[in-house]
Amino acid sequence: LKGRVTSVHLHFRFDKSPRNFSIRKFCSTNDPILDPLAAAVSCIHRADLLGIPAWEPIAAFGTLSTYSFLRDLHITTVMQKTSIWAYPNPKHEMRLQIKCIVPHSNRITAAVALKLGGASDEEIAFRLHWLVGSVPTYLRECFSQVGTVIQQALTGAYHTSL
Amino acid sequence: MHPYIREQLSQRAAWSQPKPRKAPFTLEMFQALSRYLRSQPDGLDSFLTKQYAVYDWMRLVSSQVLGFQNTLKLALRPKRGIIQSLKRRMRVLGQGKLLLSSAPASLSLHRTTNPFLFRLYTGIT
Repeated sequence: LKGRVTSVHLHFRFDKSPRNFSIRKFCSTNDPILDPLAAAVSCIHRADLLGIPAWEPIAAFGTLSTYSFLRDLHITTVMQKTSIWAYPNPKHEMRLQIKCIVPHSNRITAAVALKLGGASDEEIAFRLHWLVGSVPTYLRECFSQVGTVIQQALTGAYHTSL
Repeated sequence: MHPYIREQLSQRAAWSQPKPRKAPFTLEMFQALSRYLRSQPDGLDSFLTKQYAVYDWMRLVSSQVLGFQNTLKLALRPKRGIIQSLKRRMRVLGQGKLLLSSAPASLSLHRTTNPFLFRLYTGIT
């Protein structure tokens, strides 16, 4: 499929914004990691291999004979394990707050990265499908904890998106 | 009741234990997970693991921070074959559910063959 699929339309079924069910088009970013097109195709391909019925969720893993759908516990476990790989020093800031890494951390990352990149609250709300009034709440949850090292890592994520 | 007292009581009643703070999932963590997956033996077993599924889910969800193109009403007809096969598996991104569920015509994959239409459609030259 590489080179054949050029864009993917994501239909946001439910979110906290006033624009539910919106459809947005994502093209390949050619980033080795943060490429929504590659991620979508990978999810669909895995669902095909697992033999998941067409109307079932596709975020799943397993073997060719049995599969499980991803749940928040699975995601939390992998995310926290990843934190240990990324920051081997147990005294590192991120290791000390490892219990604060939850599935919602993705959205926190997005919000903080956009904020650090100079995005307005309105732009953050639009991109992340939030209400404008919710943005300061999400940023307040973690923005004050962002140290220099984390700021660099997050800004890198934002720059990757440019 | 005095409005001030009523407001105080209302605020007290609405108070709840603050939720624990959430830490961001940093780019370095993405890279660490990517390195781990690359270190695994190539093959179907690795691709179907929980770690790989979580990796794909996270980078798909994180795609919201990436630039996107607003959809134009210029629809390009998908090609038959593998693109059609994928289109049958169109899915909706269910953000609150931590699952990706399905619905026709929600996730469409396009293939363009006309460079002019491609530029018009994507803004990419």
